[in-house]
Amino acid sequence: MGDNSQPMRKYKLVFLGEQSVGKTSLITRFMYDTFDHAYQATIGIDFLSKTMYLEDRTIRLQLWDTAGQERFRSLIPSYIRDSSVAVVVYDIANRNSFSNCSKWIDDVRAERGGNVIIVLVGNKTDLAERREVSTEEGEQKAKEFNTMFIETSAKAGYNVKPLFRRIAQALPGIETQQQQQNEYPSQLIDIKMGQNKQNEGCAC
Amino acid sequence: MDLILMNETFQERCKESLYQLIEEKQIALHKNNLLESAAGINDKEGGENFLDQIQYLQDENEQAAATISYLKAYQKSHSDELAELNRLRSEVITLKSKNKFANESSEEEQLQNTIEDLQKRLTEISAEKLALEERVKLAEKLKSMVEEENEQLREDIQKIQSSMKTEMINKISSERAAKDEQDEDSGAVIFVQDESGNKQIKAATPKKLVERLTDYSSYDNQFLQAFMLTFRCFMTTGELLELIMNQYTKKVKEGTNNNQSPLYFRIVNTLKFWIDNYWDDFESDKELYEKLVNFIENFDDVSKHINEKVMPPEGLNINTKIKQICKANPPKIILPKDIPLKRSGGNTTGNELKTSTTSASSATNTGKTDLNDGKMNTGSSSGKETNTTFYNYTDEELSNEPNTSSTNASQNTGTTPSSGNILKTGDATAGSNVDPTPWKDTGPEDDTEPSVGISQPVARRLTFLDFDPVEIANQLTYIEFDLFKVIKKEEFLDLAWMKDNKEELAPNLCKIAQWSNHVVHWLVSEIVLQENFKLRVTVFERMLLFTQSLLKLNNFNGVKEVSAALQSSSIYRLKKTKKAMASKFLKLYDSILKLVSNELNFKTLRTKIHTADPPLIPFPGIYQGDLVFLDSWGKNILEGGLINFIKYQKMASYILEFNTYQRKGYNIKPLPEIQNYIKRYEPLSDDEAYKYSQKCEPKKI
Repeated sequence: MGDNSQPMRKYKLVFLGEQSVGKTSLITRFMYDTFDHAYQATIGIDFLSKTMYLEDRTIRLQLWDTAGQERFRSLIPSYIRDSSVAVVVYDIANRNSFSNCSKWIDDVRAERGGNVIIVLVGNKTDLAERREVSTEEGEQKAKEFNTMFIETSAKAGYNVKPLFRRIAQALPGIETQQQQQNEYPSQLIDIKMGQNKQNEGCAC
Repeated sequence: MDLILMNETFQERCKESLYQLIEEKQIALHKNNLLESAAGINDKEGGENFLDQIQYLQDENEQAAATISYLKAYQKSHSDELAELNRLRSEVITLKSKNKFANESSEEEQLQNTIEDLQKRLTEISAEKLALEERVKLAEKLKSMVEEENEQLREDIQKIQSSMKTEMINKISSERAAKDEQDEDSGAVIFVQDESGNKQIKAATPKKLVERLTDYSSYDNQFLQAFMLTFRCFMTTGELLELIMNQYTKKVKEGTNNNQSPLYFRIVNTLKFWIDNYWDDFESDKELYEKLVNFIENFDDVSKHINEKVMPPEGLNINTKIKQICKANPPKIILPKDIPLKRSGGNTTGNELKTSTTSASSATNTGKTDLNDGKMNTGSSSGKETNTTFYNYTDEELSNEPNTSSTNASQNTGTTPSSGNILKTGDATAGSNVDPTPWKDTGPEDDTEPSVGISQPVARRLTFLDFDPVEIANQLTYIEFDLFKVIKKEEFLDLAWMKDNKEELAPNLCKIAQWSNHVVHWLVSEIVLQENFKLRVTVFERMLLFTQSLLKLNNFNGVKEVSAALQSSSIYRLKKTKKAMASKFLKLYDSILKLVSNELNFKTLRTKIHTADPPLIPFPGIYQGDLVFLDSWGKNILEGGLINFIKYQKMASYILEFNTYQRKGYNIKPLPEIQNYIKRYEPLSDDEAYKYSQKCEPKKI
C-alpha cells in the first residue's frame, strides 16, 4: 500500500491509434474489468481516473482516450503534449492500423522527445484466425522505435491488467529521466525531421 | 369651477371602475373557458355548475357596470346644469351692478329672488351629487365583493383541477404498474431504477418499446425523444410505422371503453413528433410516405366509425393537422427545420420554400444559408481559380454582402478592419461562391497542392495583423456556427463519422473537423510566418485577444482550435516569443489552456459549456468521444432480442444536448473580406510550419 503521507503521484496516459482498433475497449476493460456492461444502469461521462496500488507506492493514472476525435487531427498533438505515457494501439487483424503506428509514434516523439513512455499495443488477439500482423512484426517495430510492446485482447480480458501494470512500473523512473531530458529537448525533437514522416491528415 | 373639476375627477373614477369591471368580466369569461376545458372530459356536470355560478357573477358585474354608466350620464347632465347656473349667476351680478341706480326696487327684488332660487337649486344639486357618490361607493363595494367571490371560485377550480389530475395519475400509474409487471414477467421488458428511484426501462423488445411509445399510461417525453432519434439503430423506419399501425389496430380491436381517446391521442402524438422532427425519413422514402398517408386517412375513418364521441377534440385536431401537412405539402416540401441541407445532387432545391413546423433559429439564418449552399455546391474544385479575383473587389460592394438577415450587428460596432488594408467582395454571388480551401480534407493527397494551385500571385499576403482580432473572432464564429448548425442528429448515431462511408453518413461532422484542422493550421502559419520578432510577439498577443473574444462569444470550438495551435509543436517551442509578451497575455494564455484541457475528460470545458448561455458553439469532439465511450458499454441487443434501451437513451441525451445548442444562432453581421481571408488562407503543412518555426527561433546547438 502506498505511503499516505505523500501526495499521490498522477500520470496522464494518452491512447492513440486508428479508429476502431479498440482503444476505448482497453480503457473500459481496465477501468471496469468487464467487457459486457449489459446490466450496468448508470453509464456516462467518466473522468477515467484510476488508482493503482503497487508494491512500493500508489499512483493515479488518468486515461485520455482520443477515440472519436481522430478526425480532429490537428488537435491531437495538444493531447500528447502533457502526457507521460502514450499507448499506441493497433488491431492485429488490420495491417493498415499497424503501419500507421509509426506515424503516431513519430508524433509522440516530436511532441515529447524521449521524455515519455511509449507502449505499442497489438489488440484483438481474440481474432487470431484473422491475424494480419504477427507478434514478431510487432516486437520488431517496438525495438525499432524503442518502445514497450504487448499484445492484448480487450474483449477476452487478455493481458489488459499486465499492460497497465507494466506501465505503472515503468513510471517512477520518469522523474529522474525528466530532468535529464529537459536539458536536451531540441535534440530529441529533431527525430521528427529525420524521419520520412508520413503526410499528416486523416488516414482514417 | 371647483365643482366642475370635482365632477371631472369623479367621472374619471367612474370610468376606471368601469374598465376594471370589464376586465373582471373577461377574467371570468376566461375562467369559464378554463373550467370548461378542465372539467370537460370527465366532469361535465361540475363544470356546468361552475358555469352557472360564473354566469351569475357575470350578470352581477354587468349590473354594476350599468349602474355606473347610468350614474356617469346623470353626472354629466348635472355638470351641464351647474355650468348653466354659474353662467346665469354671473350674468345677474353684472346686471345688478349695471342697473344699481336705474332699476326699480321691485325688479331688484325679483332678481334677488331668482338668485336665491338659483342658490337653492345649487344646494340641491350638491346634495344630489353627494347621494350619487354614495351610490358609486356602493357599486364599488359590490364590485369588490364580486372580486372576492371570483377569487374563491378560482381557488376552487384549482383544487378541482389538481384533484382530478392526481386521480388520473393514480389511475394511470396503477394501470401502468399492472402492465409493467406483466411485461417483466414475460421477459419482454427489464426495468431499472434511476438515481432518483424512478422506474426506467433498461431493455425491451422493439414491440414493447413501441407499445410504450404509443400507450397513454406511459407518457414520457424523454422516452419519446430518445426513441424517435435512436430507433434507426435497431429497426427500419418501415418497421416502426408498421408497429405503430399494429398498435392502432390492436386498440381498435380492444373495443371502446371510456379511456379510448387518450390511446389514439398518443398514437397521433407519436406520429406528429416523427413528422415534425424527422421529416427526412418520409421525404427520402416514398413508400413510407405513402404508407403514412394511407394510414392517416384510414385512421380518421376508422376512429370515427368506432366511436365518434370518445375522440377528444384535441386528438381530432392533431389528426387533421397531420393530414393537412401531408396533403398540402407533397413529399418534398416540408423541412422540419430551416436547414436547407443540400444533398450532393442538389436535387431538393424546393426545400427552402417551406419551413412550416419549427422555426427556432430562423431569424438569423437566411443570409448564412446562402453562403453555405454556395460552399457545398462549389465544393473542392473551384477554390483555386477564384483566388485570382480576390483582389479585384470594389468598394461599394461591401454593403451588398449576401446577407439578407438582420443587419443590426450586435456586438460588433467596430466592424471595420483595423488597418487600412481592405479587400472588398465582388458581387453578391462572388461572395458566396468563393470559399475553397476549408473544404478540402487536409489529408495526405492534399499535401502537395499548395504549391501547384497558386503561384503566389500576392504582393503581400494578408495577415492576422490586418484585421481587428475582435472582428476576426466574430467572423470565425459566424462561419463556425454555420457549419455547426447543419450537423444533423442522425450523424451521431452508430458512430457514423467513423465508418468507411462517413462522408455520406456524417458529411457535416466530417466538414467541421476538416475546418478545425484548417483553422489550426492557419493560426500556426500566421505565427511562424512572421519573421520579425516584435511583430511575431504582436501576432501572439493579438491571437490571445482573439481567443478572449471567442470566449466572450461562447465559441468553445474556436477556443479549442486556438489552444491546439498554441500547443502544436511549431508554436509550443517558441518560448522566447511567448516570454516577450506582456504579463497579462501570459496569464490569458495559461487560463485558456487550462479551460480547454482534457484533464479529467474536459471537466473544466464541460462545466463552462453547461453554464454558458446560448448562443454557443461547443466542441463536437467531446460529444463524439462520449459516444465512442458509450458504444463500448455493453451490447446493443441483449439476450432474447431485447434492445438495450438505456444505452440508447444515454446516447440520445448526448446528441440532444448538442442539438439544443444548434437552435439559437448569433446575431453577427458577416464581413465577407474577413471571412474570405480565413477561408482562403493557404496554410503551411505541419512540416513546413516546423521549418519556419526553427527559423524564428533556431534551436540551440
